[in-house]
Amino acid sequence: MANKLKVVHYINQFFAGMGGEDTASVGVSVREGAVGPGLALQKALGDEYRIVATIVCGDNTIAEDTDRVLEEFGKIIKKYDPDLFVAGPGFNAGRYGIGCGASVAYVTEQLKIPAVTGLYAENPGTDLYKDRGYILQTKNNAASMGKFIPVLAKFADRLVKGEHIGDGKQEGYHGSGKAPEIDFSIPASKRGVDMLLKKYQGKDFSTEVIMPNHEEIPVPVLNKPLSECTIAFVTDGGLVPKGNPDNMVPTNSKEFNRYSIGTGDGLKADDYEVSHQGYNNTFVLEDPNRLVPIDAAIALKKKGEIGNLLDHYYTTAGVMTPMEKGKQFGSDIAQDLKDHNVDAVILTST
Amino acid sequence: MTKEIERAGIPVVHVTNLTEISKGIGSHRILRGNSVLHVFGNPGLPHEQEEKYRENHLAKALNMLEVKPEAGQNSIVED
Repeated sequence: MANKLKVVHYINQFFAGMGGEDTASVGVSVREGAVGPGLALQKALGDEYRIVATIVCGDNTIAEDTDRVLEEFGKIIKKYDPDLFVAGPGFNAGRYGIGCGASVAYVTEQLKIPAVTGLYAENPGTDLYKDRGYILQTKNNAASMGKFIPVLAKFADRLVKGEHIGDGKQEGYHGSGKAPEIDFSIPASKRGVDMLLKKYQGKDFSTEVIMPNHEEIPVPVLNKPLSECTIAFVTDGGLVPKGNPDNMVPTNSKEFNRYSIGTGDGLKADDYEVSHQGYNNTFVLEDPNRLVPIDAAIALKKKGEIGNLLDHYYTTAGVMTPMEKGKQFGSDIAQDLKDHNVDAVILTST
Repeated sequence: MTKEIERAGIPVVHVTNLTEISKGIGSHRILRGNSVLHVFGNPGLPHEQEEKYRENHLAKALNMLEVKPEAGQNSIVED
């Protein structure tokens, strides 16, 4: 009995059976053992674990005074010295979600104890804390509790056992999860080799470079036949007119430009150059159509395969350019494409 | 850029050799280029044949605009 793995669970006043909005301002209290959803959690975690304490806190209290409440949580959790901390799950409940996200981030970072919760994507707590701790993806209401608790328990068990946790998409958590801890007293070369060895040996390791977990957007479709569509080209390969008239930088781009495709049957090597320091551009200099295939597009237009071709193309140098810049270029280009009634885009990347 | 253009409702085919990266950021339609140095080029071929190659490759990209990834899949990747 004494050897069971100890769990501290946090829930709100509602799940503790204290009431709804009328009791949302109650302070922090502790109950021995499992309460409310903790009973299902205990069952799902199995005999190896024991929920030793349940922290209950009103949603208003934790959302309004988060830092102070977390300190209080900290004192309680240290007293029980658990192997695992579980919050919620909070689904789409806003203030509860903040409590779940904040407490998981706090326990992960300050107390260094495995911690996990579950929230819906649009819960405000998700965006705030998804890169500081593990927030598993849930549906938007508590009706899915029964199905979700076993998922939560399984993930928590792997976390406690120190098993390898993959990226968010694969594992079903929001954002990038727990932030990597980097010991800068160890040279990067050694950290890199250590990481590689751990990967090779199938041990748990985490990257120091967080890959953003990208949101998914609906798939757009053509709203008329290709033979009636106006097509435009965009490239991040840095193709600019000879002389680079706008001094477009070859790296760390701050802007994109639009330039004419000329009046011939394709782009002429004499009229273009490349401002991009990330690839050997000899082949494109020899024939710019290899990057922006205007000659082929004109040929296909003549055959009636496409309706029209936009008379200019968009260009930037996609080297060392932050994601945020890329997004801004994309949304500005999209606006211009709409102004020109463009139906579809071919985007080429080097 | 691909995603922001698509957010505006305009379909995009991303022609690149770094297909895994493109897939990772969530592009829906991805066509592998000939080489990272010349996605629409094939410098090994005589000029006329290379033009033909380019036309075929562009036609392939354009045809991808008329299909959607299957249910449960986020992207279509073609070579």
